[in-house]
Amino acid sequence: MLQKNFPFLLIIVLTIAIVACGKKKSHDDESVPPIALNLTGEGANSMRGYYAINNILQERLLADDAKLDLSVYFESPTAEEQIFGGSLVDLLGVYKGDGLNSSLRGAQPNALNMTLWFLTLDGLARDLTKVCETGQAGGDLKLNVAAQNALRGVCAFPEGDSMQTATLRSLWDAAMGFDAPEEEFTAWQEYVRSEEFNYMTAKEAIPQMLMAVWYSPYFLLRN
Amino acid sequence: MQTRRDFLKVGASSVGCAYVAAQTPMLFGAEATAEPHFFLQIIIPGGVDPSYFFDARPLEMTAAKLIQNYSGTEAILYTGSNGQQTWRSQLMNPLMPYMNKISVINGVHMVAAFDGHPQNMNFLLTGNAFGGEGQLPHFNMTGKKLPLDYLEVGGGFFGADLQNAAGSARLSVNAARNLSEKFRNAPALAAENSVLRQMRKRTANLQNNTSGLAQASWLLDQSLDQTPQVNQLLKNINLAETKGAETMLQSISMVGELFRGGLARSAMYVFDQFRTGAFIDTHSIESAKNQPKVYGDIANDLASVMKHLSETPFDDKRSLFDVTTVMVCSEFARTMRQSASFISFESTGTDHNQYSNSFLIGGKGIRGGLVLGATDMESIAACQKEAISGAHLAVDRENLMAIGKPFNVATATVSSDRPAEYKAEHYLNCASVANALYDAFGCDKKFYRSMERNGPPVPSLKALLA
Repeated sequence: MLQKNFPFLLIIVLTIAIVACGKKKSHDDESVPPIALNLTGEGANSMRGYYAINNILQERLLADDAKLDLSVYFESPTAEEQIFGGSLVDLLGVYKGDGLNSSLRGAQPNALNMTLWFLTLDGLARDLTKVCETGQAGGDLKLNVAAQNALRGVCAFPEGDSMQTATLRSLWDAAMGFDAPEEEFTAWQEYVRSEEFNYMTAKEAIPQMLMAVWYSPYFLLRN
Repeated sequence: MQTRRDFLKVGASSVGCAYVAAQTPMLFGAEATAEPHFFLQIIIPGGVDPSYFFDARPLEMTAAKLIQNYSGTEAILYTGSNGQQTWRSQLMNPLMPYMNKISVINGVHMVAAFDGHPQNMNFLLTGNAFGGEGQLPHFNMTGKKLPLDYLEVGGGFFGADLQNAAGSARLSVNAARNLSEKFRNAPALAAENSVLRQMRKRTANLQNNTSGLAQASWLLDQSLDQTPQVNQLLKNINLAETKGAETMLQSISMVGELFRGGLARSAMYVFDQFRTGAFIDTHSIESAKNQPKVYGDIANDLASVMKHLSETPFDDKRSLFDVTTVMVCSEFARTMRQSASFISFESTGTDHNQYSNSFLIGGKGIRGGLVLGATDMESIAACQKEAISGAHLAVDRENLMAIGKPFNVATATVSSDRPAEYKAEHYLNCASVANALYDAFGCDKKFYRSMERNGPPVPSLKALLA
C-alpha cells in the first residue's frame, strides 16, 4: 500500500515543504513595516530606511537581549529638539503618515542621506573594531557570539589567518547576511586583499572592511 | 506666529544670514541647471478664508448678515495690473509692497465631490482626491537632478498621501544645525574615499543588469557624485539657533541657503497651526473670532519671507526671489457663514468650501500683479436668489458659499455666464494652475493634470506665465 502510493505521498510532502519554505519570513522582511504593502511606486527606488537597517544590524550583530540605537552616532537631541523638531532620523528614511495613509520619506538615495549613513555606519564600524583592542565592542554594544568570533578573526590583520577566505567569509556573513549574491562577496574579498589596505593597521582596516560591506546596494536598498 | 519683537529679532539675524549667504560659495547649484529655478510652496492647511486675504467682501454684507467679518474693518478694492478687481482685507496690508511681484488667483475650484480636508489636500498636491504622485518631485525631473526633490519644513501636518515622497526630507532648522555640527567634527568625506569608490564599482555592476535594484543603484551612483559637495555645503551652512518653535522666516532662511547650495529643487513649508495655536479651520465661534489675529500674523510672516527672498542674493545678479517660484495655498476656502438652521449669525464660524480656493503666486516664471478668477456673491445684490446661477444652487442650496465664477482659461477672463447646471469644466480648476506650474518648469507633458482618469490634460493657465 505504502509502496504503491509512494510517488503520490512524495509529491504531497514536497509540496508542503515548498509552501512552508516560501512562507518563512526572513528577519529582513519582518523589519520592513507591513504598511509598505499598501504603497506603490517607491520600493524599487528606495533604501530600506532607518528602522529597517537598525533592526537588521541588531539581529545580525547583537546578543538576543541587546538593543541597537544607530541614532547615537549622529545625534543627541535635547529635550527641546525632541519636542520642536530636530531629529535627523527623518533624513534616513522613515514612515510618515496620518494613521490612514503612510509613506516612506527620505529613503530615496540622495547625497544628504548617503552622507549621514556614512557617518552612522562608520561610527558603528569603529565601535565594533574595539573588540580587537579591549575584547569588548565600544558603545556598550553586547555582541552575539558569531559576530564576536567574526571580528576576532580579523583582529590579527594582516597577519595569521585574517585574510583567509574562511575568516573573511565569517565577517561578511555577520555583516551582510544573505542579502547579496556570491559575486559580491568575491568582489569584496578582492577589495580587502587589494593594495588599498597595504600599510593599514587592524584598527584602520577593519572599519573600512565593514563599511565596504554595508556601503553596498544589496545592504542599503530595498530588494 | 511672530510677535513684533520676534520679527525684529529674526529680521536682524536674517540680515546676518544674507551676509553669510553672499559669502558661501555656491557648490553645485550653478551647474545643476543653466538657469536655476526653485519652487517654494507655502501651505496653510485647514482651509484658508479668502475673505481675510484677497477675496474679501464689503462690510455692508456683514451688516446684512451675509458674511462673517470679525476684523470689523472695511475691505479695500484691489485692482490687478490686468485691470481685474477684487476686494482685499486690510489684514493683507503688510504684503502690499510686494504685490507687484505676486499674482492673486481667486475662485479656483477644487474637487467637487468631496468637502473633506484630505481629499482636497490630495487634489491640490497630486491632482487626485485619493493621493498619488506629488507635483514637487516632478519639478526635479527637468535638467540635472538635484540631491533632494524637496525639503519639508515648518513642521505642520497636511494629511495628503504622496506616493513619490521618498526623495524628500523633512528638515527643521535645529536638525540642519545639528547635522552641520556633526559634519564639521567628522573627517571630510572626499570623492576619492576608498569605500565610496568601491561602492561605485558595485553600483555600476548592478546598473548593467536587469535586477530590481538597477534604478536605485543608478540613484545611489548619482548621490555618490554629490556626496562630497553636500558634506562641504552642510559643514559651511550657518544657521541661527532657534529657541522653541522655529519661525517661518527661520525655516525659509534655511531653505534659501540650501537652494543656493543646490541641495533641493523645491521646499514645502507647512504652517503648524497646532503648535502656534493659529487655527484656521474655524468651525467654532472661538476660532472664528481669532481670525483677525491669525491672518494678520500670517500676512506679517509672508511679508517677512518676501522681504527675505527679495533682499537675499542668490548670486551676484539675482535675488533668491528671482530664481524661485513662490506659491501660497490651502486645500480649499471657507463658507461665508454657517447655516442659520445650525447657528445664529452672531455666533457663526465657517465651514469648508471646495468650490473656491485662492492662491498667491509669484517669482521666477510668473507674471506678478495680476488678479485672475473671481467668486460670486460679491455684493448684496449678487446674493439675491435671482442673481445666483442654477449651478451654484445645485451645490449650495443655502447660499452659504461664494463659489468661483465661470472662467475662460484660454483668455484668462471671468465669464458672466450663469450656467444652469454645475460642470467642472466651466470653471477655473486647480489642475489648470498646476499645469501652468509644469509649464513654468518645462516639465514633461505626461505629468499634466486632467479632470478625469486618462482624460486629456486641462488647459494650462498660461496668463500666469511671464
